[in-house]
Parts: sequence; structure tokens; C-alpha cells
Amino acid sequence: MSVRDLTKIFPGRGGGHKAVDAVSFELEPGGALGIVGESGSGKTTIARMLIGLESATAGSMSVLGRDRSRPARGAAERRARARELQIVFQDPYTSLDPSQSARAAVDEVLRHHAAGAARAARADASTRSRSRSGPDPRSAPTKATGPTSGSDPAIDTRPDADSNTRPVTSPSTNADPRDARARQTRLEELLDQVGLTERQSHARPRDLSGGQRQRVAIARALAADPAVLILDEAVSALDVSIQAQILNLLVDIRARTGIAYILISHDLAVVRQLCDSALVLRSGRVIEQGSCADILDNPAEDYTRALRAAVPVPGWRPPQH
Amino acid sequence: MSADTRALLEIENLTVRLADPAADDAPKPLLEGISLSLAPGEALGLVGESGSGKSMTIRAATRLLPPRASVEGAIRFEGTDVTRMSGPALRAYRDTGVGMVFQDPRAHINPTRRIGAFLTEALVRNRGVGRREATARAAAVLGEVGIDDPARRLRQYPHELSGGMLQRVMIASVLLAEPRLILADEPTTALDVTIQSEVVGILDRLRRDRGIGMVFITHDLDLALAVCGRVAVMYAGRIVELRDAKDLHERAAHPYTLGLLGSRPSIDVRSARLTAIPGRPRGAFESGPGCAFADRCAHAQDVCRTTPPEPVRFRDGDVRCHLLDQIHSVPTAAREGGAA
Repeated sequence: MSVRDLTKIFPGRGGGHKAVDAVSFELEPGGALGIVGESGSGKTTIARMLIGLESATAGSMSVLGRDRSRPARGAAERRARARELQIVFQDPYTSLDPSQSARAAVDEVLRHHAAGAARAARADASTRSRSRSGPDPRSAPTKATGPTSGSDPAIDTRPDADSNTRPVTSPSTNADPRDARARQTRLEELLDQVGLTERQSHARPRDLSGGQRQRVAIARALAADPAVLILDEAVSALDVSIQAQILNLLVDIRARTGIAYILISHDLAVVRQLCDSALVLRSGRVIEQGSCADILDNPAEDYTRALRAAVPVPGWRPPQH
Repeated sequence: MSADTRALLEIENLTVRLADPAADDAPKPLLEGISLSLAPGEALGLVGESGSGKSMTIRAATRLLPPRASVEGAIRFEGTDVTRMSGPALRAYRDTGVGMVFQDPRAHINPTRRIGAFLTEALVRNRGVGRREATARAAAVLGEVGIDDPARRLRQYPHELSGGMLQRVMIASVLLAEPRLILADEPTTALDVTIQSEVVGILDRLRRDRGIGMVFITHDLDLALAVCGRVAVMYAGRIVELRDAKDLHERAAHPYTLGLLGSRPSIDVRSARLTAIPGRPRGAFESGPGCAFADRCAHAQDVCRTTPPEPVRFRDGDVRCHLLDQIHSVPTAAREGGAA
């Protein structure tokens, strides 16, 4: 990922508010970058621009050489971008569909991307000059599209039921039972990778604990097989013992898959545990950036030193005024 | 634990249960056998994860429990049993005996009234202080908690102040009542770390200068160790370990305390793996007949699943664990021998 002079100005009185001010960084494949700052430093605005929830006022962003500075045109490009970059938010309760089981939530993403890939492949191979985007790209993620018309995704995902009951009316769509089996295998793999048990995978978010919900959110993000995963305070709201489990999980996933992380956090110890490099933000500006160890062990800037000195560690005493 | 006549707050074998009218089951336990005491001017930390009963303990101490809760055991404030206080005595206790600071000050300050009105209300209404005098006192206390230009702040509304500033206002409001005890429930959790250090610095100084006792609730063990003289680690409605903050890092004995210490990443070094505790934290009502931590404990044996451990004296602390001698036998002897 490459980010150059990324800037966000929210309109308002007196020329507006510059939330992000010419931020630049590089992230190599499989790398892990921590973006550190206090509230109002612009860290979350950067994440929102990266994933396209917020438009950039100026500057450029690209992942794997593909520019994402402007909004995606069409579903195919959106899907392609989704395979480059996914995000896990702080509160999985508000980012998961309350009516969807963990299994269904992850499978939805798998199916969406499988369908998209199949459609793209068809469009490429097709001799007929059909529009690349197909009939209506926006219908792709819904359950009504394609031959897998069962309304309960939990039933869809069973390969046996799938191949036996599926009407073979449209052989040119993604009805290949091998695809369904591959998807099923991938689903089990993802659920297993994030440590969700069979029983938990059928539960709805309200029946899961915060840590379990965050595992679902991580599995869902990984389902798109992204090159980069943004973790926006993704472990901040968790109990200490659960936070340790998720941190270990994230370390394992990165080691196994070679995925790259951008960790947005106010917690310097968490950044140290997960990241190779870091940048310190203050009022939208990069105060300091470099290797994680350098920044935490030998901070060059007063602000970084103050941040570090404020963290309670063994032997720390509150400042006396 | 023997009754301490000089104790400011003394909780003895406190058990709280909550009846569920929808179910015929026996009332669910929230707290089980909590015992602690706090001397004037002392700071005691209550540390634990969700459902451990930290907040419930101080809610019991102020009699702010839900109506269906039943309380056993004693809670004494300056020798008087809080659970038996009459209306006027309870009001006096809450007005001037004890002050509370919560995690989210914005939820506890009326957003439609100015800071000055919020700070002076109790003085004027309950204690008959003149309005001018009350305003002067409020301004003085704002200065004490590190707020510049108090006169201007008194005219402002809560939304005009940052979270850190508002938490100082909250602390100022508590100080105006001149309490002997402050109960602080995650008072800095919602604040940035630099603001957190300033706010705990203020609480710490006020406790020393004024000799106010403080119960400090936090999920951050290192923060509790920095602010408090003693720390009680809570799990599933029980205190599983209670010891001096200064040697908790070296002498922690309960497997859960050790697990908490291993769970936190360090700011100084990256560890290959954190020693995570498996499973999730439990509430008191979810725990079986034995030790509530047994199903997450690597050392658990049959006795742990059947018999609840009583607190025992170990390494100068009180620890609820059956297996202390086994877990700590060899390394402890070696380490303590070396240290002595």
C-alpha cells in the first residue's frame, strides 16, 4: 500500500477543519504498520478514506499498484478493492448483522466474491458481447441471485444438500458443485482459523461474547482474502484476557497468510506487539514515523515521549502537580 | 479478617444475590464473600474483567443495588452498618460521606445546565451555603483540579468541555461535598492516555493532601498498581487475590492474577506469544460449585471443581486457591531464598 499526501478537510467555518494533513506512508506486502494517536488525531478518518467511506480532499492511495483515490466505478471494481483491503472495527456488535449467524455472515462474503469471480471469468471468456457488469451487479451479494436460492444460508452451505437439491436450470452460472464444496471448505477453514467452535458458528451476535463477535468480524474480513487488513481499535474494547487471545490470533494469521496489517490504536503496547513500523499522529499530522522499536525505545519527538511516559507500566507513578 | 476500629470502609463477607422474577430458580449470585477494609487516606484498587463484580461491590457500598437484590454480610462506614442505615443517615452518608466518580462524566452531568449550576447545586440546596460563597468555593476547587480560568468554565455548558476537562469537573463536584471516601469507577477509561495520567495524578494528590480514602476500580492492573497501595483482583464475584501493590508483579500467586499479568502486551518488548487465558471471563452466576476460575485454569484438579477455595495467607497476601503450594513450590523457595 502506498499513501501520498493524504488530506481531509471537513467543511466548516474559517476554511473548514483539517482532520488529516498530508499523511504519507508505505506498507510492504505482509508488513504491519501501527497508526498511533489520541482522540481527534485523525487516525480513524485515515481508515475511512482508505476503505472509501470518506472521500479524500487531496492526495493519493493505492494498494497493489491500483489507485483508490476516487470512488469505485461499478461492482466489479468495488469487489476488486474489497479483495485488496478489509477492515475490522472496534465494536463488532454494531458492525455485524444481528439476525445473521456467524457462519452465514462469513459465507455471505465468500459467496459474494465467488459469484463475482465467476461472473468476471464468464465475462472475460464470453464471445457474446455482453456488458461486463451483467444484469445488475448490485444484486450479486443478495441471496436471491443465482441458483443457490435457499433462503437460509446455513442450509446452502451444506454441500450434500446443495448438490442434490439444486435445480440445474442455468448451467452457465456458478452452479459447479466443486465451487460449493470449495466454498464450504474455505468457510470451515476460516471459522477454524479464528477459533470459533461449531456451536458458536451457528449463534447470532447477541448470543456471542465481545471476543467471539470480534472473531466473527475477523473471519468475515479474511473471507474476501484481502492483501491488507485494517484493524481500527479492533482489540480496544475487549477484556484483557480476551484481548491477549485475539492478539495471538492476529499474529498467527499474519504469519500463516502473509496478510499485511494497518493497526489503528491508542494503545502503544498493542502496537508494539503487532506492528513492525509505526507512525504517530497529532492533529492530523505525522509527528514521527519509522520502525516500531525505534519510535518506542528512542522517540525523537517530545509528543511521542509524552505519550509513552503517560502509559502506566510497572513502577510508574502518576505525575505530581 | 479482624474488625478494624480505625477502618473507614469495612466490608465483611458480603454476598449479593439477584432474584429473577421470570424464573423459579434460586436467586443468582452477583458477589460472593467479599471482604475488604480501607483506612482513611488509603487507596485500594479493584481490578478485574467484565462481570467480575467490581462495580457491583461499590454499588453495594452505596446501597445503589437493584431492588430485587438481597444482601448478606456487613458493610461498615466509619463503624456504622450501611445496610441498616435509615433514610436521613443514608442521605447524609451519600451527601458528605462518600463521593463517586464514574467512567463517563457526560452521562452524569445535566447537559442543559451550566457547570456553575451543577457544582453549586448541592452546596446551596443541601448545605445552606449562600450562592456567592458557593460559586467562590466551586471556582477554588476547579483551580485545585487543574482547570485554568475557573470563572469562565463556570459559565460554560458541559458540551463546551472536553472529556478530560469534564472528568475534572466531576472530581471537583465530589470534592465540594468534602467526602471522606471516593469511589472511582473506571474514572479514566474513556480518556486519552496523557489525560488519564493527569487525572489520576490529581486523584492521587487529593487523596494524600486531604486524607480521603479511595476505592479505584479499573481493568488496567498496572494503572491500579500505580495509584493504589493495595490491589484486590476480582473474578466471578469474588476477590481471588488481595495484596500490596508494590510487590504484586513479583509475588502474585493466584493463577488468574498471573494470567492477567501475562495477557497484557509490554510497551518495552514484543513477546512471541502472550500467555493468554483460554475461554472467557465468567460472572458469579455462571460458576460451578468449586473455584470459579477452574475451567480456565491450567492447574485445575478435581478439588477445584468441587470445593470453593477459602482465602489463605500466602506471600503476605490473601489468595483463594487450593493449589498454591503445588503451583509455587520449587520456584518460590528458590526465588524467595535468593531475595532474602
